[in-house]
Amino acid sequence: MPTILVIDDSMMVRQQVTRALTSAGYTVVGACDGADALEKLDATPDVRLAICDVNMPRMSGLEFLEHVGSRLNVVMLTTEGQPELMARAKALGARGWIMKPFKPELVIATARKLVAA
Amino acid sequence: MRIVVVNTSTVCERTLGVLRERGHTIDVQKLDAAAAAIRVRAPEVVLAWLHDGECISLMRDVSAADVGKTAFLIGVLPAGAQDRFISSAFAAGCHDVVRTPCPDEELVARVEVLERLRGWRGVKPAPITKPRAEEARAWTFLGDVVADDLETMVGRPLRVVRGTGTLAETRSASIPMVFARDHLELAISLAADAAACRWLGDNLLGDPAAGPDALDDVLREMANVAGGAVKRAMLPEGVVLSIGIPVAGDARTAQTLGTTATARTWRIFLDDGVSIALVAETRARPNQHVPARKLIEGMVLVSDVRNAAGVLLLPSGTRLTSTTAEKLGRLLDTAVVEVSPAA
Repeated sequence: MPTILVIDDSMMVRQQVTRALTSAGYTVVGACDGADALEKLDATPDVRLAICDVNMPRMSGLEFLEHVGSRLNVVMLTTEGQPELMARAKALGARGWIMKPFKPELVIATARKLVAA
Repeated sequence: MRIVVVNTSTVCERTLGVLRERGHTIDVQKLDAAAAAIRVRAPEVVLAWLHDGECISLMRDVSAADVGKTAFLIGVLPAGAQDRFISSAFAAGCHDVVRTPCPDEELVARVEVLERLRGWRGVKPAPITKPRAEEARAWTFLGDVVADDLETMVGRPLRVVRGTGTLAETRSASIPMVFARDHLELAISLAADAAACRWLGDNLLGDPAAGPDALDDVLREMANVAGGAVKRAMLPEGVVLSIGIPVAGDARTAQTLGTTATARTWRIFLDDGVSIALVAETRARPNQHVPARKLIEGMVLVSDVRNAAGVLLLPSGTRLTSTTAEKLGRLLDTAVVEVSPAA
């Protein structure tokens, strides 16, 4: 099954998203911030989708997006909802924006849509 | 009229010349100095050249710098600016936008619209008072606002009651939320006692005996979600908050939450007899370390500032004026200075 990278500085969020995605059959790799995610991407080139928080220490989600651009499907998962942040993420190549607190079925549906595309 | 032009690239000198010929005072400022200049000069019109998302945050800063809310903010957008970019510009505080290339007569008309409106009303518009977080209507029902989002997180309905009594909680997490460039911040804190920690470990981590690091992580994320809920609830009332990074606190921190005069407290019941405490309070923003060239009027020096040779430039406690801020920026360049925020 396709591999999905989950990037969040909260271990609990990584765990909850991982639980949802693995129940739907996906393989999940976790990263605690943008910098860690870039390292994980190098080590796991078959990642098809990244689900990424915005506010993280070291490297934020938007900085991560600047690095990967449209090379990778990225969906933001965050408590932030400012239109300008969303517009900036979209301009940088983000494919979606999910607000926290999230429903697991929405994360699974998003993964199915983007990974199958 | 006093016009501050925020120059993000090459401003058309001819256009500015037309405005000068009509008797307007033009002050062209670079991006990094624009907010300080607006704060000091209180212009009637701000013309800001906006090119991308970064410039939208600039406009937000410009809008925040206009403390009296008396300036008419006009964003000058690129020819290809799409509707969404224009909406973002308005959301960031623009009162009007124009697309380049803009004929001089159109720009002049838009700049002078404020004067025409004043003539029409016959009075100078009164400054709009900046709304404060604790004055927002949402402030009184933050308990329900936060519980609504936490319900989705924990997957069950939660009951909320006002007040917490004496806190005997053992763990906590707080998220600082800065209100524009105010010297105050709004802190949203959640605190849990041993029973609540066991419940959270069991229901969110699948481990009732989850360790302190894991529980701190849970409370930080809950505070993060609570911060997002508060931010969305206050936005319609014009209270724009930016969310910081949540930090965990120990028992001592947990038990001193809510002791300020502004604090409001709620108890959110996770289960029968199991609850977490929610505390919302405004507090002074902690000192900041600011690069010397970003110092602005109003900031207060926390310690003596000396040059590389050790010569005292300004003593601690000095409240910076626009002149001293500018001079320190020039003299110290990249040095970092500890200040308490502008009041």
